[in-house]
Parts: sequence; C-alpha cells; structure tokens
Amino acid sequence: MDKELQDLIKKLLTEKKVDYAIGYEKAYDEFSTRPAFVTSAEDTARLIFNKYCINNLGLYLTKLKKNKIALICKGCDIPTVRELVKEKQFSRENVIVIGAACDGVLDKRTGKQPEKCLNCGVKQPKGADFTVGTAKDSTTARNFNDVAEFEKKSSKEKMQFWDRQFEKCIRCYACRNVCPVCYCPDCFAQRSMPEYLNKNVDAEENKMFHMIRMQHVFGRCTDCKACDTACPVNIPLTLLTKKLAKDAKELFNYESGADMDARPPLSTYDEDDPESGIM
Amino acid sequence: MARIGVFVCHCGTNIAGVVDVTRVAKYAGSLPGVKVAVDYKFMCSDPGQNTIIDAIKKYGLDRLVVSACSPRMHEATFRRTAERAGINPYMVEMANIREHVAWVHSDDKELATQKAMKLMEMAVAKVRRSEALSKMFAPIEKRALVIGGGIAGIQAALDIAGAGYKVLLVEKEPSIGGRMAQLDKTFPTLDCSACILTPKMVAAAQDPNITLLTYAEVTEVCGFVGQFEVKIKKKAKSVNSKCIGCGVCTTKCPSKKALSEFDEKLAPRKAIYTPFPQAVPNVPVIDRTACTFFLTGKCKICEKVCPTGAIDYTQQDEFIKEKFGAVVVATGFDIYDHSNYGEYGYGEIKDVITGLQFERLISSTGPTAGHVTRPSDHREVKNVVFIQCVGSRDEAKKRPYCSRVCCMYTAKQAMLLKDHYPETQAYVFYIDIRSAGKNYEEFVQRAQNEYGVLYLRGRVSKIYERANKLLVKGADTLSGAQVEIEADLVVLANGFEPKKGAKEFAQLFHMSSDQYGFYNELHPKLAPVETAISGVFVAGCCQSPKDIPDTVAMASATAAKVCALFAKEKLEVEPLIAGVNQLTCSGCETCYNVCPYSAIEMKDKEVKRGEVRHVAEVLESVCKGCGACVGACYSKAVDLKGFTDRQVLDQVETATAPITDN
Amino acid sequence: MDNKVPQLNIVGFLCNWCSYAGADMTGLGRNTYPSNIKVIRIPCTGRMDPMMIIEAFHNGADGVLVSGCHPGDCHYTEGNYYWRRRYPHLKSLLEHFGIDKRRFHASWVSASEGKKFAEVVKKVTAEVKDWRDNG
Ligand SMILES: Cc1cc2nc3c(=O)[nH]c(=O)nc-3n(C[C@H](O)[C@H](O)[C@H](O)COP(=O)(O)OP(=O)(O)OC[C@H]3O[C@@H](n4cnc5c(N)ncnc54)[C@H](O)[C@@H]3O)c2cc1C
Ligand code: SF4
Ligand code: SF4
Ligand code: SF4
Ligand code: SF4
Ligand code: SF4
Ligand code: FES
Repeated sequence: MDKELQDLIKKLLTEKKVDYAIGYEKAYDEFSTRPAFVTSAEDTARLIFNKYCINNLGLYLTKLKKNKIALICKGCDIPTVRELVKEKQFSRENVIVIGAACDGVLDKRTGKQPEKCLNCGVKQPKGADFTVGTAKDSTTARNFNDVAEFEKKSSKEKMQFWDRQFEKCIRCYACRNVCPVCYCPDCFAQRSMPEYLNKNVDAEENKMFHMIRMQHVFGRCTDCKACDTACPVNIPLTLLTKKLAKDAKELFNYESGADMDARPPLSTYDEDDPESGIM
Repeated sequence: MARIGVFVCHCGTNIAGVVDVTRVAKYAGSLPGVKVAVDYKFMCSDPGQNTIIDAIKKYGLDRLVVSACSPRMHEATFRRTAERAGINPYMVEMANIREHVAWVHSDDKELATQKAMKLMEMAVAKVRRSEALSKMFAPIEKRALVIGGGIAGIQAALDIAGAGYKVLLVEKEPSIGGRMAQLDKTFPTLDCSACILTPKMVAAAQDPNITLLTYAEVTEVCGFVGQFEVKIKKKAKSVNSKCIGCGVCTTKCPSKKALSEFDEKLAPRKAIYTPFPQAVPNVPVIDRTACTFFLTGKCKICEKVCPTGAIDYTQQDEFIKEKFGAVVVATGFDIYDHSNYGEYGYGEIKDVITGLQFERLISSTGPTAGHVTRPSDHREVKNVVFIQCVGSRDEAKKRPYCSRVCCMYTAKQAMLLKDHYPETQAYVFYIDIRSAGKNYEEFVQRAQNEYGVLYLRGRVSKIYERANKLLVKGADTLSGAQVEIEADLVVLANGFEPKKGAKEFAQLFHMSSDQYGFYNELHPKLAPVETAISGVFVAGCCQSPKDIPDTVAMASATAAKVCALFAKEKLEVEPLIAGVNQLTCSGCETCYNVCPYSAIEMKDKEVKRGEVRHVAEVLESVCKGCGACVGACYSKAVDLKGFTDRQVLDQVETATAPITDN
Repeated sequence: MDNKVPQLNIVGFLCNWCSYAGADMTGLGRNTYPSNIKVIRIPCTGRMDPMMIIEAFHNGADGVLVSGCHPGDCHYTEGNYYWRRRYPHLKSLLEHFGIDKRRFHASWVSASEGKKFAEVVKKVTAEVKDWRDNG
C-alpha cells in the first residue's frame, strides 16, 4: 500500500498537479508517525500509511491556503476537508484528497483501537479523489450509546465528573491547536480586551474554556478525535465532541462535513423550527 | 480614567416612593470612576437636565448614568442633554429603576432598593466601556407608500401629495373607498357618506402626485426608513387600460352567482364588476372564480360587447418592486362575525342582520334602493330591534374591548329608520351608552327624545323565529322585568375586529400587534401614529376601532409625520452598528451568511503587511445593528457598537456580583 | 409564588424591541414579580452570543433567561430564528456539563405582553429556586 501511495504522489508531483503532498512518515519509533510535507518526487519514499497514522492532517489545510496540495486522509478525516471548504478556509480545487483505506488505528496510550474505529463506517474512504488500498470491512454504523449513557446522570453528577476531569487540565491548548476547525487567528482564550477567559489555570476556568470551545465548534466539529488523542492528561474530550455530533443530528439533523450543500446548523434556520420549550 | 456622573431620579414618587434613591446615589458615589452622584426629583425636567449639565462642567465628567425610567422613554432626552454639555451622546447609559424596579417590586422596598443599586451599578459598568460614536446619515427616498384606500388612506395620501411629495396608494379591492363607501349617512350630522367621500376619492385619483394602484397587494418588504423596498402584486383585472368605464360589460354579463361584497352579500353581483357605481377607478375587474368563461371555457360576452376592446382574458398577475422612504398603513377593519353567538341564532336567521347590512339596506344605492325590507321575504318592517355590543365588551368571546362606534351608529340607524318609515318602532338593547364626542351625547338624546327610540338596558338571551316574526327575549335590568319583543328585523351592532390577514400583513413590516391583532402604536399617548418600525405609520381602524373624524385626524397626523421625515435632507441614523476586526477575522463567512440585511461584504484584503486574507467588512450604511453576526462569529472578530462584548460581559459580571454597600 | 426569593441571582437578556418593551409594560400595568432578575438590554436575541450565557453561569449566575420577539416578529426579521437554534443546542450542551436545565430558559414576550413577562419571570425564578432547594 505504501508503494501505491508513493507512486500516486510521485505522479501528481511530476505532472505538477500539486505543489506538495501532506502525508505521514515514520517518527522516532515504529509505533509513531508524524506529518510529512513532500515537495519532490524523490522525497515520496518517506511516505507511509499504517495503523499508527492517527493524526488528522486536515489541520494543515487551514495553514496552507494558497497552494495546491495532495492530502492523505483516512475515511474519517475527509469530513474535515468538506467542513473547511464550507467555511471558506481554502478552495476545494486546491486540494486533491487521497483516501487511504484503514482498518482502524491504534491509540498508543492504550495500545487499543479507539472507540471511533470500532464504530467506523468509512474504513473504505468515501468522497476522495483517489483511493489507495482496500479495507477489510466498512459497514458498522456510528452509535452514541456512551453519550446516551452519560446523559442519564444527574446534572450534579455530570458537574462533579467534569470538575474532576478539568482539575487535571493544564491548559496547554493542545486540544485546540490540533483541532482543524479551531483555525481562528486570535482565539478568544488568549484575548485580553476583553478578557473572555481568566488566564488562571483552575478547574472552573478550564471548564469554561472547554464549554466555550465546544460551543464554538458545534455543528462544525467532525468528531475526528484529534483533540482527544492530543490531550496529554487524557481528558475524555470525545465525550464532548460526540455529544456535539449527537445534538447536531438530533436537533438539526445535521452531520458536520457530510453534505457540501447543508449549511452549518447555527448559521441558518427554518421558519418552522421547533419551539424547543421556549416559553 | 473614566469620569462618570450618576444621576438618580425620583420621578416624583414613582421611583422614590419605593426605592431609597439617596441610598442608590450614595452607593453610586462609592463606585470606581464615579466622580459625582446625586438624586433629584425630576431628572428629565429642565432644572433636572441643568443639574446634569452643571455637574458635567463642574466635575469634568466624560460619561453619564441616569437611573430613572426606561431608556425607551428618555434615552434620547439624556443623550441630547449630554450633547448640550459637550459630551458625546453615546457616553450615556440609563438604569431603568422605574418600569423594571419601582413599579414591579413595590411589595418589598428593601429588595427594590437593592435591585435599583445593582441596575445602576451595571449601567456604570457598561458606560465605563462606552466609546464616543459619531453620527451617521442615510439618504431618503422622498416617496410615500400608503396601503389601504379607505378614508384613512385617502386622507393620508391627499395630505402628503398636498405637501408636494409623490404617493403610491395601494388598495386590494377594485375600488378605493373602504367601509365609508358602504355607509348611508354618518353621525352625528347625518350627512350622506357618499356625498362627502366621493369628492375625496376623485381628488385622490386626479392628484398628479398620487398614483392609484387598485386590486393590488403588498407581498414583500425589505429595507428600512428612508429606503423601503416593496414588492407589490398587481392582480390580473382581465380588463386593460383601454376601458372607458361605460359598464356595458357588467350589464351584459350573464353570471349572477357571486354575492356582492360591497352589499354585504345581500345581493348578487356579476362576474365582471365594479364594486359600486361611484367606484374609483371606474374600471371593472373579472372575478375569475365566478366568470363563466374562466369556469367553462365558453361565454366571452363581455369581450364581444366592449366597445374599446378592453377585455383581456390572458392578463397575468404582475409584480412590481419600488422604493419608498415612508409607509402609511391604513388597512382598516372587519366586523365581528356573529355566528359565534348562539343566542342570536348562530348567524343562521336571515332576518338577523349586521349593522353594515343595515347600512346597505337603507342606502338609496343599496340592493333594495333604500327600502328596508326583510332579507327572508322582502316584507316591509314595523318593529326593529337593535342589539349593541355584539363581539364587543364580551370577555367570553375574547372581545373585551369597546368598539367605540357602535353606540353611535346604532342611534344613527334607529333614527334613519324612523326618518324613512315614521310608523316603525325601534328598540335598542344596550349595556351602556358611550357617546363621548362633540355633539355625540346630544345625538343619542335626540334619538330617544325626538325619534322615540326605546332604549332597554340589558342583554338579549334568545331570538326565536315564530310565525314570520322574530321573538326577542331579554332582560330590562333597569325595571328588572323580562321583556319579549315581536320584531320583524333584528340589527346587530357588530363590533370591530382586525382585518382578516392582519397578522400576516404585520409580519411583512415586523410591526407588532396587540392581542387581538390591531397594530400597535409606538406609544399609547405620545406616539399614537408611529410604530416601533421607524418610517412606518398607522392610521385609522387598523390600529383600533374609531369613527370617521378620529380616522381622518389620525390620517392627517401620519401625513404630517411623513412630511416631516421627507423635509429632511438626509436621515440621521444610529451609529450602533457592527464592525469587524479584520486581524482576528478567519474569513469563515458565517456573518455574511446570517446577516439579514446583506450588510457584510467578503473581501481579499491585505490585513497585515504582505498578508492578504479573505475577511469580512461591514457596509456601514446598510448595517442595522441587529448583532446577528456578533452572535454567530466564533472567531470573535465582529462586535457591535453600543452593545460590545466588553460592555455586555462587564454587565454580566456586575449583575452576578454581590452588592458591596454598607 | 412569593416575590421574595433571597439570594438567587438571575440574569435576563431582553431584546430591545419586544421583550424589553414588554417588561416596561409589566411596570406600566403594575404587575409584580420576584426581584432576582437583573435585566441586560440587547438589541435582538440574534445578538446573543452563547458565550455571554456561559460567562454568566461561570460568574455565578443561578439562572439565565433570554427573551425576544415572537417568531416572525423580530425587529430585524431573522434574529430570533437564529436564537431559536442556538437555544436548544446551548441548553443541551450546558446540561452535559452539569448546568441543570432548570437554570436556563428562553421566552417570547411581545411589547404588549406585560403580564406574560411577569409570569415568565415567576416561572423562571421558581424553577431556579427548585434547582437550588432540591438539587
Ligand atoms: C355599520 C357601521 C356604521 C358606521 N357608521 C359611522 C358613522 O356614521 N360615522 C362615523 O364617523 N363612522 C362610522 N363608522 C366607522 C367608519 O366606518 C370607520 O371609522 C372608517 O371606515 C374607518 O376607515 P379606515 O380607512 O380606517 O378603514 P376601512 O374603511 O376599512 O378601509 C381600509 C381599506 O384598506 C383596504 N385594505 C385592507 N387590507 C389591505 C391590504 N393588505 N392591501 C391593500 N389594501 C387593503 C380595504 O380594502 C379598505 O378599502 C361605521 C362603521 C360601521 C361598521
Ligand atoms: S474532534 Fe476535537 S479536534 Fe476533531 S474537530 Fe472535533 S473538536 Fe476539533
Ligand atoms: S475555541 Fe473558538 S475562538 Fe478558539 S480557535 Fe476554537 S473556534 Fe476559534
Ligand atoms: S489538551 Fe488536554 S490538558 Fe491541554 S488544554 Fe486540552 S484538555 Fe486541557
Ligand atoms: S463570522 Fe467572524 S470570523 Fe467569520 S467572516 Fe464573519 S467576522 Fe470573520
Ligand atoms: S449587525 Fe451584523 S448581522 Fe446585523 S445588520 Fe449589521 S452586519 Fe448584518
Ligand atoms: S428584535 Fe426582538 S428578537 Fe430580534
């Protein structure tokens, strides 16, 4: 599969279809990969794809707006590309999406497949310009059972749960920095005029940062899990991002990055929207 | 460092009777940045405003907080005060301690005082973050749109045109005239309605400044004061401009199935018709739901008989879009449908008619040429019972309001009946007689004393049909007796209600309505013809039930408002608009997508040296300051002047902090 | 309910054109309601950045009410339609973080609905009180 991938990129580069390609290469050990930016045909030999390719490379698109790029995506990364195109972060013509068939990645921290891979319906990528490889199966539907389970808790229990989690948070902002839809030039969290967020690292301030971030990415977050994976203190951010996905679906029948024509739920409306308990 | 002055108003005892105003002022004095805090009896009075101006000078203030009534009431006043003393008018905030405190928390003075202190403190927090804003101006399209061609609309159009401005008068029926055209004679002078109305209708049609558009309706409105863009549907009349109004088509038309709206369904009308002989314009329309040709494909008699070839069966509805600087809404009223009243026969007894039907019966141009006969068997009448307050002052029918005109028109109709037929007897069932108005009470007295109309105070409990008669059973609460009257005809004084479709119409302009659907004026006393939508005015019965004199007065008032607006060179508009910080804008186009006014433009712009980015920009003359963009921008790049994030956040912070007074 | 509910802090965001005017009408009609609510005037519910509400809870508000024009009546045509989408999403997200549903409310109050505003405030105050007293 690596060969197939390298050949394809080589071809795109020599034919000048793209200025460069963004993919994965081996990092410090065989269980680690890192993003690779490849600009010449010779360089393509670095490119690999395996179960340690956990990062969502869609992140880099927002930073490289003007060039033509070939981007290597797992099936679950492709919605990010669509979402970013919708949000005008670059134009679709400038990106060639190369879907890499994936049998699930491994979370280094646990040595196990993350939950998203257990319920993945896009192991064989959908909506790519080119696809390399063939996945074993790609039929499982996504479910929200864990979120639904959490929702059953009382609000007090929920509060306590998150308070404990966010006590751990060191406000390194890794979660935000790896998030492809957190591309704002000047994130609220760092502003001083006004100071939306106190710079103290305490559980309450940390929690507010996350509440606001989750609100900001609602209807845009593709539940790619990049933040969850990046967190150095293992805060289960997936329980938040999945909640967003569940609410977007249940409240607005919307799935981020699924449909190029559907407007993000908060920047549109329907005169017949339900009243949702408004008095 | 801000130099804030806080001025706490007693509003006589309105505020001071509940709130400890001296404590509020004292607390204000302890807040950071507050250089002076005083209380005074009437802040908005001349001496009150002078207190403020003196304090500004003495303490070198640069911003003010006035703790008084609602900013909706006096914000403009105090902004002007500030301006007079040389402070930017947008450096003023109000704390509403009257409507939002004293008047609603009178049951606990301590809590009320604490809340007043808090609201004042929030206003101080906000004003600390205020920025000086400069005035903005917008152009005015000096052309008025008047909607509804009843007496209200006609009068407004004539007055505006008289001042030299162009007017488009839009009426949905084939003729202007409205309800007044249906009336026979009018109280309190008993002059003939048509005789005073028709000249006005003709004047409107002939005025070079007025364009009449009948059989037309407004379908879409965008824009705002000075610049309304209105889409109007011209319904297909099926008769073109060649028509000379000879009326041959109407005479020859064989279709008689439709009932005349003008004659309140008492008589048939043709499929090609003008509503009444004096119609303006005197051009018929084809009612396609009644026309034999449109129904069966055969007929075309009108086309054959028309001497000018004016009939055009292929005409289509047409839409036009035009710009106006101001709008007068004069869409009038409907009368209450009494089929909800079981005691009056659910609207099923033929000889129980509405007041408006009576007007048509007694009118010499009506279906019976002025003979008051029974709709059921066309017999002449002898005993006629009038019942007042049908769909007025009736809580059970959700019509608790008084329709104001019915007492008077009932007296008028009883008198007209007696005038035409001296041998008849009129009875009137009433709850109270409301005859406030010049010469009104005298008029009702005349009905009773000179015309012998019998007034019975009480409600009718039942009307039975018996042997060609109507048996009216009721109570006379003055004598305590049950009464039973054998009547030939019963005339109901149906109350006024909003025009059908008033709600949908209001939404076109985003006007607010009261719980019944009558349009709301901006202020019940001081702004009775303005609406909350600047540049949109209301006249006549669409605002509330009223008689012709009040309608005309109101219409002329709207005209004065429109003319005052048009007399200005340019329109001063609030500078409370959005602005984008392009350095922080991510170019996501969210604001561009949500803005209701298309006031956002996306641009590729060099925001930093050498860095061209896709960013948003607010079109200042288009932005209305709604803030939808601000609520949607997750990059926090767009903010709203006068309601900035900093201001709101500081208000929130203050609102949630405890009071630190001792 | 009793209008005296000590130590409950409720922040109300009212749109200028309908609900703020409606609350003025409550005063004109001398209807009373509990004094816990502190009103912040905003031009339109469309201005309501969810962040302001999160900040309010973060700062210690016990309850928040956002009120605007009835659908179709927004002074700016569409603002309240956007708000009608933000509200259920935000309510659900806040609840997920443990901010009880009883603490966050929204209403439509027109300029003429002074009585309704009093009722709404009573109901909101009662719900927030219920949350505080009964968890
Ligand atoms: C039975 C009866 C007797 C009365 N007798 C007297 C009397 O003797 N003396 C007196 O002073 N008053 C009398 N009145 C009251 C009088 O009729 C009203 O005061 C007057 O007609 C109000 O005029 P208006 O222009 O506001 O409304 P209307 O006369 O109702 O005119 C409104 C016009 O707007 C048009 N319109 C409505 N909607 C639209 C739309 N969306 N687009 C375009 N056009 C539209 C309608 O077709 C109509 O032509 C009487 C009323 C009744 C019911
Ligand atoms: S899952 Fe996390 S990183 Fe991925 S889009 Fe959502 S918030 Fe961003
Ligand atoms: S948290 Fe919000 S402001 Fe910060 S980068 Fe993400 S979307 Fe932008
Ligand atoms: S990555 Fe983890 S620790 Fe860092 S800010 Fe995000 S949640 Fe907190
Ligand atoms: S919503 Fe905000 S970030 Fe997006 S384009 Fe508008 S101003 Fe820029
Ligand atoms: S405030 Fe924003 S959304 Fe509203 S009109 Fe102005 S630019 Fe448009
Ligand atoms: S102005 Fe009231 S909700 Fe928009």
